[in-house]
Amino acid sequence: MAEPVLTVRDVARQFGGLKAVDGVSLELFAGEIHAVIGPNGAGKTTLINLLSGDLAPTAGSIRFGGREITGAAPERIARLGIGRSYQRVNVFAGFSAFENCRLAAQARLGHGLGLLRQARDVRTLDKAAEAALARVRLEHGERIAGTLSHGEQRQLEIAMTLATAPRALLLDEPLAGMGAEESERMTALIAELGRDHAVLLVEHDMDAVFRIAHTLTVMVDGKVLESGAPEAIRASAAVQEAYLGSDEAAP
Amino acid sequence: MIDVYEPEPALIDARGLHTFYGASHILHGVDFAVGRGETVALLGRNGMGKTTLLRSLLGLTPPRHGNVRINGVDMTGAPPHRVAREGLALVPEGRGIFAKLTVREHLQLAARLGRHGRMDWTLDRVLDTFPRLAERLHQSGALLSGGEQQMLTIGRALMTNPDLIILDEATEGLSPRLAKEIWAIIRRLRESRIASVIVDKNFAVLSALADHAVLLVKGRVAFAGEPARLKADPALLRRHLGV
Repeated sequence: MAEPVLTVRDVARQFGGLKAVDGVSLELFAGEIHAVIGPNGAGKTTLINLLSGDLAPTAGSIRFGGREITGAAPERIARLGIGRSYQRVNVFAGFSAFENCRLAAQARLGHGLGLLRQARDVRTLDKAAEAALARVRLEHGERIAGTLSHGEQRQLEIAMTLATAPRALLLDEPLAGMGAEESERMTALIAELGRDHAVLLVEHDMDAVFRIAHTLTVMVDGKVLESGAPEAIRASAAVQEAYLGSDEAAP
Repeated sequence: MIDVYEPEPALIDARGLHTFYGASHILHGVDFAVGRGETVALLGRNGMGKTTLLRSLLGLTPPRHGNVRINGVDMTGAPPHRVAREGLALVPEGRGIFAKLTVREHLQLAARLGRHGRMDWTLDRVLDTFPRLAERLHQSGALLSGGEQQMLTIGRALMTNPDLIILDEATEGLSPRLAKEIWAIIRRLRESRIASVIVDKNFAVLSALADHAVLLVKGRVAFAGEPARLKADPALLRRHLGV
């Protein structure tokens, strides 16, 4: 099998007495959608924050493309090629969809606005922005981001991430708050992105997860409960109990 | 005059609720009812509309269509304090404990007579129910553990002598031992005929405790009925709550 794009070894993150992520290991491969699921408070978003550099792990190591990135700043991690989306929409509401994507591309290339002198660079950024919008099938890039529907804003966020030309995508609940049609469209888009990216997907919509994920990791209380193929996860009694609870807590 | 027998109206009777956050249409025609003294489990994954439904009932996020009757009176869109006066008490997911108030102050501030001037719950009775709170009576809210905070919010709700307590994420973030204590308290509420609407991820315990279950999926009711019936449908359960 190919080398993993991202290798996570025993990472942990402690907040005071709470171990939000407690010794998690996983590997992410190109062309693979790896879903991380688990009940509320299992540590899924914290895990994404560790991988994106938004939080530094208190233990463990993270390697990306053979390079140690444990504790690196988020800008550096983004530039190396890990793109992420957040649970809540993060776009510049007053700018057009196209401008949002161009800003994202610009950030990746490390240009400050004042340093952007060469026309060639402008064209490169324009092209990256256009390609990203086309990839998520968001039409009319001139529309102002704040006027887009919730589903379109989420598409735009993915486009902004793609404009930075990432190899790995970390998607935090991309289907949250979407209607049936929007969520159908987004699921198809993620499946397609999974062909040429390493995708880590945190999502509560199990229909979508089981339809498009190649590998699943189930987290409970900061730890990995099980990891494997979708069928194996579905068949696991421990996983079902993590979701449905047990009578043991009964008074 | 003919004496017509009229049964006491349902505590909550909500019909056809459509609730929005801005342009996002969250609830799509939800019906939801709670009878007197009834324990109702409100089920569904994250983001399926549970908290929005609770907010719609309480006047915190009024529905755009549909109506909410409380004790038989139309309260659609009424402000939260009026809904509270009808005997509905919320134990919110965030708990809302004040760091600068002691446990006793939290409870005393909340004290109120219930509907028809009822006073079943006094400070003494609440402290009797929660011995842990009695031990921490003069401590500030900031120094309580998560479980103690949850007890305090339930105790505070009881001080309003409510007909109905709504517990959003009843045992979220609590250790198994503390969760068990909270479940025991919920059972005592049930025994003292206080109605409740409970949101919690432990379906196994909740389904054993509740009289009625409502399962929300993408803002619609996917199941409403006896929890045992839901338990007997593994496919439905797995699809909407399990894996």
